[in-house]
Amino acid sequence: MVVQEKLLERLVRHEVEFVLVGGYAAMVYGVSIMTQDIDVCATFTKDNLEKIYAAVADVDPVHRQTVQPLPFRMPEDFERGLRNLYIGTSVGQLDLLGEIKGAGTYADLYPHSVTVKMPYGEYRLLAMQDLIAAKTAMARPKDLFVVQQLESIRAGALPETTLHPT
Amino acid sequence: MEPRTLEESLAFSRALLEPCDVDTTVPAWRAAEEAGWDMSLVRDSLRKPAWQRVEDHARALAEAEELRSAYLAQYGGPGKTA
Repeated sequence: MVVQEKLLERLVRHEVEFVLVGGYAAMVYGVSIMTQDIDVCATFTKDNLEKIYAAVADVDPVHRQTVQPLPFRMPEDFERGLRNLYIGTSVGQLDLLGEIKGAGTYADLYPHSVTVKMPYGEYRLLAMQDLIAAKTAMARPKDLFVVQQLESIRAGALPETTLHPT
Repeated sequence: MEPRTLEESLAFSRALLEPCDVDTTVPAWRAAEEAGWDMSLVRDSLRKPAWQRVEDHARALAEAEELRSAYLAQYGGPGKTA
């Protein structure tokens, strides 16, 4: 089973507003890491939360960071005071963050993101410069490992020398 | 060359999503190698389009989880042996 692709595909198909960040974003830029969860920066409007819920409703969503995993549901006024949402599902883990340290909120990140085309649609990916800044701001050892690879890619990549498939 | 403006940053990021090559002689690349990273994997990833990198990662993750499940089924838990 292709786990993370299903989860990302669900967000795209349900038109959730998000910018891909974190380790998964680094992987898209070529970093050789393996990550089991998807981190996105999202807006927590009622409309977007309903889309998020619709994207995961049929894959047993639960709140991951409660003492006991509580089912993820959409009560009234759920969006009020919501800063982050950590969801576990049967097809992977999804962390929806209202703000990224070193980068900002969804409104800040969107102009600093690029479009990635997938077979099932497209999503927004945080620009590499901003991803490096965010990972540097986190400053955990695992983030700094990723920063090292990202900076080596930034220094060595020759995007003007595109490779043409044979 | 490092992007200096937002426009350059976005253009650079877009270009990285397409297959591209790398200069492995730059100091940052050498430093990553010396830190122990297998940068040939990074180089190979960069030679694929972004959608291919995502698919490859999903496939590798599925395989890793399959291996872990087989281990747990055989031994019953982490740190245990036959």
